[in-house]
Formats: sequence, structure tokens, C-alpha cells
Amino acid sequence: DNARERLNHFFQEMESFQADFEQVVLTEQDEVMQATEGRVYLKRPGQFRWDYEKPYTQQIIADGQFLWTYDEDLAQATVQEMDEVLGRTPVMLLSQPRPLEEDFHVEEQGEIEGLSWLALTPREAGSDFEQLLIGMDGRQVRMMVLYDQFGQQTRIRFGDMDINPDIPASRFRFEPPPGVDVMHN
Amino acid sequence: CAVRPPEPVEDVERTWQQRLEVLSARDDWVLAGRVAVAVDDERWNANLRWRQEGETYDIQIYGPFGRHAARLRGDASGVTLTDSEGRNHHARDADQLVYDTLGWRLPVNGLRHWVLGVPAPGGSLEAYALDPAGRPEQLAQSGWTVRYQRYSDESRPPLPDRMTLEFDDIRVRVLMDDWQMNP
Repeated sequence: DNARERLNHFFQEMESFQADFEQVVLTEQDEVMQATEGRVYLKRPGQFRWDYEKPYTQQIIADGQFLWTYDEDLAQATVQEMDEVLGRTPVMLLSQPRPLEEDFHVEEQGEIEGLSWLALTPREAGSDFEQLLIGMDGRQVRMMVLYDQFGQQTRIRFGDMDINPDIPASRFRFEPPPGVDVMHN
Repeated sequence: CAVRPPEPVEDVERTWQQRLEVLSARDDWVLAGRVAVAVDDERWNANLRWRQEGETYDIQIYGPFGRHAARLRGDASGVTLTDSEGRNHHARDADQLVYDTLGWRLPVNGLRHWVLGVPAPGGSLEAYALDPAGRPEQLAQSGWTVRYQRYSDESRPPLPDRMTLEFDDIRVRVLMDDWQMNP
């Protein structure tokens, strides 16, 4: 089956997942701006957690209502309403997917590097990314590649993905460490 | 990056002069790090990539998942700031352009030198304090107070790893995650 059908299976089957991730941000000249690694947790609808572990510790937690960020070195946490920021963030796509075709023009890209790819182009202007590619490995999402309007590219590769593990609710709650005050943006 | 307390040098002043000589000439580098801005009760932080090549600079400020926040590209003759909606703003002076467009201050002209742990040339250095290893602990220049909390000793001379800048009620913190110095 093609990438679209595989993604459908993924959405039908997946209530939650956890995985390792490697993320690379590239300039329009394909120079590496930033390479990070960590763990991602996701639970439908609307909850996810992105723990950057290397080269520094940073957390992004969506608890369903608010988006929290925390940077350990900066000892700074921020919180903001989720719908303001998150509607367009790619990871949200995986957590509460309305039918993709409502928000995106979806196109099969065929087999590249062992994955079967879909290209999603937002129907509405003003989204964070100009195009999002999803690479399916069997019935699992293996890669997401985002292109912004400046040609900057963010490549995310998931590894060691567990589908429907039981993830404690506390995973999606942010507790500011002692001495860290949370800024409302 | 390995970090140790500064090893005292015999002649702090001479080490400082050498530092000025070596680092003031360095104009081909890439800095990857993070920047945090605090103005009144507003706080935000983002990733920073600064590419300096001679007088030309390309400063990208972006959020998680590469989400573009602002980009400053300029040289001695002028600067263009691209905001988060993709609109371009032009001016001669970067510091003024950032303030007029984004509403907070980023002393781009000074920061280009301060991130290396040296003052900007041109004589407006009001004061400086050195640590026992001949590295600046604090600089006061063009109204900004620059403080260095930590140096990485992976480079010679050592480059800053943690610094803060203050001007009136604005406080900017810069964390240097990766330095790439081209000879």
C-alpha cells in the first residue's frame, strides 16, 4: 500500500507512542545549524513531550491546554496557550490529526531511501512551514522533514518507536524545578 | 566542553593584550548557541546561529523545530531584518533596526566582538575587569554591561561559554553551544 494508506493505518492504530529522535536544522545551503537528540512522547489527542537531551537539556511539553518550555542551562520556563502556537506545529499533526486533506494538499512522493514519502503542503498561508514531508517505514512514521519559507530545513528521524506503550500521565505534566519561575508569554 | 576555574597567569595584562591582538583579528567564525531576552516581565528564549565573515554577518534566531523567529543579514553598508512573518526591513544600523522592528535591543555591532570575549574596537570601552587568567570578567561599553560567567578552555585563547548583557531594563543571556573558528 502507498504512503497515504500506511499513514492511515498509523493514525488508526496509534493512540500514543514514544521514541528516540534525532533532529537536524539545516540552512538553505544545507549547512548544519543545530543537531539535537532526545526522547519524544505523544498521546492523542493533543499531548506530547519533546525532551532534548543532547547537546543540552530542554523540554517542550504540551499538556493538552498549555505549551510549556524549559531550558535547564537558562533555568527559564515559559508557558503559553496551546492553540495559539501549536496549531501549525508539525508534531501536533501526529497527535490530533483531523483528516489531513482538510488542512493540507497531500501528494505521494514514492520510495526514497527505503521510506515511502508523502508531501503535505498547507492549504492556508502563514503556517510555520511551507512543506512537510513524512517518511513511512512500514506502518510507522520514521521521518519528518520541514521546509520553511526561507529554505531552512528541519529533519527529524524517529528511532526505536513503541506504539501504544503505557505512558504515565505525569509525563505530560510540567513541574518547574525549585527556584525556576514560569513566564507567561 | 571541559570547564575549569581560570588558571592564574603571571602577567595578566600581557595575556589580555595578546588576547586583544588575536581575537580582534578573528572575523571568520560560526557560533551556534541560545539567546534569552528579559525585558520588564517578558521573557523569551530561542536558538541562535551567527555566521560572521569579514564585515558580513548572518544572524538567525529560531525556535524549536527550526521555527524561524528573525534573521539579520548585513555588512558595513547596511542590514536587512526578516521578521517571523517573512517581511524584510532595511536600515543602515542593525542595533536601531532590531529595536524599531522587534521592540527590544540586540547590540549587534558590539556583540560581534563581545561574544569572543573582547571589546569592540573604536574606543568606547568605559571599563573592564579581568580574571586571574587575563580574560575579561566584565566590560562596560556603549552603555552595555557585559559579564562573562564561564569560558570554555577548548580553544586558545579561551572563548566565552556563558555571558550576559545588560542595558537599562533589558537583560540578554547568550549561551555558546558550539564555536567554529575558521583561520
